[in-house]
Amino acid sequence: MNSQVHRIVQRLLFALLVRPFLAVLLGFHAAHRERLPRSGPALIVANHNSHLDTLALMAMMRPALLWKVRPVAAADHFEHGFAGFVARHLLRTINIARNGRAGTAALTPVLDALDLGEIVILFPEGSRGAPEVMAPFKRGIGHIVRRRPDVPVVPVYLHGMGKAMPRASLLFVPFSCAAVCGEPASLHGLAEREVPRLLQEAVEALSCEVALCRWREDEAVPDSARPAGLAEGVDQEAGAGLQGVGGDAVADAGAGMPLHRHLVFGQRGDGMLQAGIGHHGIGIAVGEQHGRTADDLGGQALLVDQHAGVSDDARHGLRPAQRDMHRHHRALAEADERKVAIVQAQPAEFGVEIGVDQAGGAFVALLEGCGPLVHEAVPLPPHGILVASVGRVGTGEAGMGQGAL
Amino acid sequence: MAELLMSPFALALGAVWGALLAGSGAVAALAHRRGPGTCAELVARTRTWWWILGLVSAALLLGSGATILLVAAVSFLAFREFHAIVPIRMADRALLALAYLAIPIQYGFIWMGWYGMFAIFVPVYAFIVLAAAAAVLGETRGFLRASGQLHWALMLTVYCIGHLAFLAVLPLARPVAAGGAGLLLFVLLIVQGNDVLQYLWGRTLGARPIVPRVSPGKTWAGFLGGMACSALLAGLIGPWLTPMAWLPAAGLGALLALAGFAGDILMSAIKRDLGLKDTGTALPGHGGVLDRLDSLTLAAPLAFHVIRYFYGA
Repeated sequence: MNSQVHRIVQRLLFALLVRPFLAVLLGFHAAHRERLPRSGPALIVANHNSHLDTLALMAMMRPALLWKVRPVAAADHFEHGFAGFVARHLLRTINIARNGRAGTAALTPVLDALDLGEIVILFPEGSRGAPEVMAPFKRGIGHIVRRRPDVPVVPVYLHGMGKAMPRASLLFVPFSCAAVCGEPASLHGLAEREVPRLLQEAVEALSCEVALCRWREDEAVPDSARPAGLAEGVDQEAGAGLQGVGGDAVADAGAGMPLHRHLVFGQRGDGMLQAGIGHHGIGIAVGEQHGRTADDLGGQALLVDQHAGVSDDARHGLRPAQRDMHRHHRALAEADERKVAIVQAQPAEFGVEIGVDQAGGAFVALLEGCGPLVHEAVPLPPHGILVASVGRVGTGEAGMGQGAL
Repeated sequence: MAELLMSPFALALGAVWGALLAGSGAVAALAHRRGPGTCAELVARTRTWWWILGLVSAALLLGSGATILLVAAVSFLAFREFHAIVPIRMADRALLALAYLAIPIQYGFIWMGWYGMFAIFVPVYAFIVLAAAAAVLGETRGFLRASGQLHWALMLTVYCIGHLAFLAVLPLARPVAAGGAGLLLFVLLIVQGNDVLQYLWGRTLGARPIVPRVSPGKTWAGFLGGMACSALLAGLIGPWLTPMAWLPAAGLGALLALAGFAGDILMSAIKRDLGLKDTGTALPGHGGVLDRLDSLTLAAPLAFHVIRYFYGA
């Protein structure tokens, strides 16, 4: 009886409050909604940046299915108080302890819900994390998928909620939000530990569909419009296709600045590797102290709250390089510390892999097996844009830019 | 509303509906001849035009209150869209929330018909408050760029576009039957019509690009042809919808064509800077709200001040 009342309240809540709120203030739009499950049991996995994520995912479901939807929530957040009441009775969350003491047994309620034919929403990142940055998916999802291999798993990419209402903020600000639904993932025969990675790739692949259309082919930028004055010493040879990683400004990777969604275009790792071999230059951030990249060019990552330009020796792996070292004198320090190396290598002797570091939502440039390298450091103007790419990189009026390829 | 329906305004609005009907027919015929799925974008664009025309017609007929509300909503959408495409620092969220408040305030002044506050609120008071707040918040990294973005967005999407709404309540020295709705329809028709006319001229005759670095699709033929046609159209409908005689109306038409073109390439320049084709997907076939508003951003204040200076009460 009581649950019948809750069910009606839930329907009204979504019809009168949640859906209009999402539509009017956030302009929420879900692409490929037809790919969402039409019946249970099913599993929906998505990236997680905001409390709005759950509401948005539920609002995407058809109203008749709403009562069957069970979002997995953190017990430490939604056990008590008004939020807890709304979560448990109106959103019908499955509350799970995050402390890990219970191990995989903590996931039993999820399996039970699936057995009841319900549709479970799960955020495998485990927490909302830094705004608009995707953290590695945790293992729990693998456990569930292995135990219930026949349940379809639908990946969904959510965009913008982390800006509208990020973690640790009570202030709601209207931002355009969107979701992209994927085809059910095929996970058959996959090892348990492979599942999180595969699903994460599926969600990331969907992020490319968030409509930030690039210039259409027929209106391509003429060469004359590209950044002029490329740095000397960079090979002028034109590469084949443009396979760039569009990075939103290493210069912008300052505290609190989430990497912009241009980055999305660079998240297809495999294609990059393919494109890299045989090309000539690559722009990566270099250390100020050394004025050079590490000898082995082992890789350097800029995390979201790190500075461009200054880094520790990369030989120590991808540990955080420069986390707000100059917080106090940043304005003074930043202007002359932003540098970007133009690295030139013998094509035959080097393979390039550029990817986007999934952990930090950052840029990673990895060069392996490099031969002799020629590189020079070019100061990056404050707020210049670095577009790193396999190919030619140069400095133009707008800062670092990608040369005509 | 009854009064409006008896005025030349109704005739002009009916003509626009007729023109769109004819345009839709032409697009449908083209799509039919070329086979299904060939002109998807053109069809989508036409369909969106119907939505826009329907909303604008309804608002204009319902009166100045509805018109102001519609323009305010458009401002909100455009402002939000702007911040969906520019990089945002997390520290800017508070500022943005503050900036959003400027929208109801500015349109409140418009609704009150308070010209003095309308004219200075965004460039003076909102500027002071946001600049001070930004400094107090103390995120100095990327400060100038973030501040610039915010003020630009407010100026373009709220202040400039707001002039359209004020046209609806602008008191005239010699009132005309079409009233404020007529003025607004005149400006919208000329500026948006100029977009279409420039496009048509450019497609049929255009060869020499006019601003190849910003917008390679724009040609001299399109620009000049569009401008001439806009002046002609303005001279024709100006005396009906506005207090202007045909000659000054044609002059304003040419001026609006120029300002519309400038606004158009201004938005193109912004999009190029950001590496985007469209500002969004809100209007199928057109792109984002800003893609549709681009030519109005600079033309609206210009039209408003020309009309107010020469014909205002």
